[in-house]
Amino acid sequence: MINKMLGRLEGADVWMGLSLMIFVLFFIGVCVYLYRMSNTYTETMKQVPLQDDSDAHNSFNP
Amino acid sequence: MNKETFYYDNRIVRAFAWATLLWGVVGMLVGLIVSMQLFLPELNLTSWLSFGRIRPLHTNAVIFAFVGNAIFTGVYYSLQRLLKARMFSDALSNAHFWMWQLIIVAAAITLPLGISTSKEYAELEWPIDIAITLTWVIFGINMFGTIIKRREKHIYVGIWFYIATWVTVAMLHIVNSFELPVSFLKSYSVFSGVQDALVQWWYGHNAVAFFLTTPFLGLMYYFMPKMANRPVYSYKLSILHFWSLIFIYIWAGPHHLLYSSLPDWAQMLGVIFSVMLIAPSWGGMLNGLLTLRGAWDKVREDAILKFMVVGLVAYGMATFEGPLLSLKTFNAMAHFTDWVVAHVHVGGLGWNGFVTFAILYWMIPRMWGTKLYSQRMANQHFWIGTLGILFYAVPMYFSGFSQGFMWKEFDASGNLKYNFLETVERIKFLYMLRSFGGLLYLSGVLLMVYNLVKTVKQGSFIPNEKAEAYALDNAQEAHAGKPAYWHKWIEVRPMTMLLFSLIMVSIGGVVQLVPMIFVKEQVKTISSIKPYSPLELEGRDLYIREGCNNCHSQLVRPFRSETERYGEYSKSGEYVYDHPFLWGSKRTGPDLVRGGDKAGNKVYKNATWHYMHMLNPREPSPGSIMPAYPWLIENTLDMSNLEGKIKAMRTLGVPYEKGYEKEARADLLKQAEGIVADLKKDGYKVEPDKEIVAMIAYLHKLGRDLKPAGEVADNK
Repeated sequence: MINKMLGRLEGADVWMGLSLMIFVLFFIGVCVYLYRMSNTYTETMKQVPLQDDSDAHNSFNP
Repeated sequence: MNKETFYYDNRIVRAFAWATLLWGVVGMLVGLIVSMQLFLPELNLTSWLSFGRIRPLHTNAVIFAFVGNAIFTGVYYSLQRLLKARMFSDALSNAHFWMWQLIIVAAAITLPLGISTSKEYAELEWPIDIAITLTWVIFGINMFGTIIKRREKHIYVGIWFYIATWVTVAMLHIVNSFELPVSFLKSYSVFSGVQDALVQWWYGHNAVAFFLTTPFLGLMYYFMPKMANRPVYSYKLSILHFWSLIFIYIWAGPHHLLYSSLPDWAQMLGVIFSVMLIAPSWGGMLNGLLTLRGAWDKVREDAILKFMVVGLVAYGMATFEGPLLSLKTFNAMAHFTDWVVAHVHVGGLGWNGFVTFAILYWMIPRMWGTKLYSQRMANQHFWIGTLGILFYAVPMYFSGFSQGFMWKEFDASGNLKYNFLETVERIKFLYMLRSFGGLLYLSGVLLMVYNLVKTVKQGSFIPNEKAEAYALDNAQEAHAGKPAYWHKWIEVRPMTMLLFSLIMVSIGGVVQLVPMIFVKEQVKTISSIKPYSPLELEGRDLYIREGCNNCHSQLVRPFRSETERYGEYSKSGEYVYDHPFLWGSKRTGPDLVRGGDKAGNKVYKNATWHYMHMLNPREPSPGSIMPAYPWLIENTLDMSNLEGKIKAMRTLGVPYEKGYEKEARADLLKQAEGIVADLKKDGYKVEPDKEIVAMIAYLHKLGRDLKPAGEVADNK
């Protein structure tokens, strides 16, 4: 079915296999790093945009 | 330890915000006009207002002027606050702003004058390309300068998207702008035919990716948490989203060239990576939407959150549809039709438009220290805009399906059921509905402009916004935690991140482009294909000037429905002298690549027909929506650059003999006399040096050198 959707091309299996491998390896790599990443750190990073203390009220026009 | 006091520069944000509004209105107004020209061809009032010239004005205005200025507005606002630092240099900020506006003005002047390279979303000629490069470098220095002098050690995910945007757009723009100047405002693409097509769509596809998508994802990661007043749903998902999106996106360009004469392996890669793209795209969308968890009740009241939610849903729809359209089964039907127009406008109006509106509604009251003038009006804008998108997209989907099915339908005796004009007649009503949708959308924008102007009037602008933060060394202490994940390591090193991003986006580009450009076997040669004669070359430049490629493709795909309608399917070898390629991406009118194939006789028209058709298309083709081109008949052909053009083409590899440029003018006139004689037979008296003669010569060259189907055996 997949072959039908992609169209009949010479060497399609090789390209599909290779591309899928690159994709999967890359994803696994990033996922492993994310798994090992500390939650405390990501919680800190999530707060960064909310921390800027420059709301209009504490500002002035020099 | 004392905190440092500093000031955010709001002036530059204000400048870009006003430019966003101004160019947004202009770009959408031009869009409305071009959409109406498709059912009222009389609206093609003059040469500089004709569809082929101002359709690129619309696309350039909304992409680079409206969305471009919106990106800079959001980036200049968020970058300073995420890094706790004023922009690196006010002078560079101002230079960036004014140069970008000058480029837009230059585009608004040159495109209606027909000064164009013809390459979609890269139509601007070489001096403007250089100005764009310089401006981009200024933006880069300013951005990286700010990153270097920051007071926040870690670089938030939004900024990675800005960095990837900067480096990738620089790479795409430079490579796709390789062109050889012939004169101050005329150049030829260094690449030809199928190679030029691949480079162009590698650029075109990734302009969507890295100009319309990644910077907006960066903005979403900053503004969505601010608007919802809660942190992003998952920071880990944002990292996965970032790296996988920039890695995969760059490979998908060839899905714009399916069933073309691009080698199969390149088409295959384009399809596979396009399908993979759903994963990171939806990861990003869900991360944005789930940021609203526990705050969905706010969406009912807050127009800003409504815009963000619909914007993200439109992003999700467009990024699901993109991979769908890249599957060959769907692409066979959808390519060249209005389905693609619907697809890009769901992304453009929904994602880019709505997210921009949300940011402006959120940011402007804060910069003026006030509240939004009218929440009610903003809510009205939301509903008018949403209806506008629906009235735009739904008719265009129907139009696309109609075209796709009707072009391919055969009757019981095996002949094509509809001629091309019948398919145009069928969708005119849908074009009217589409314009109504555009009008609604633009009305909503005007309402927003009024609302924001009133907001500004009731507030007081804060040009320099006071903030306090520890210097970086102290900030580092505050962040001291567990050491060294690779990503934590890279997050504090902006230049390393720049380099990594460049490597990631280069891989796909190198794998696809290098073999196509440097491996000769990729493009098969056809011995019967001859270079353009001087008259045909001048005619081709007129075809580019008038933007004919906006409506007419020059690529017959290998389907019976196409070979029956147009003639022999296209081979890569027949485009080797095409600098630039002119395959087009839309068939508002029929394909023309076999227009001169007298033997095939499918679409061939004689000189008199072309003359009458250019003067008034509705005379030979009643119901046609093509603009009239009376100026081609009146204008004298400008041959002043002919020698330079021949020399430039020879430099690019077209086999004109040395010294031929001296004979070119005589050859041109000789060929012109033949066409003049043909016209005279039918009672039309034309001087040989008129533009129409060159245009006819070019249209008669198309497909003429390709031998009939049985004789293309030398296509090895």
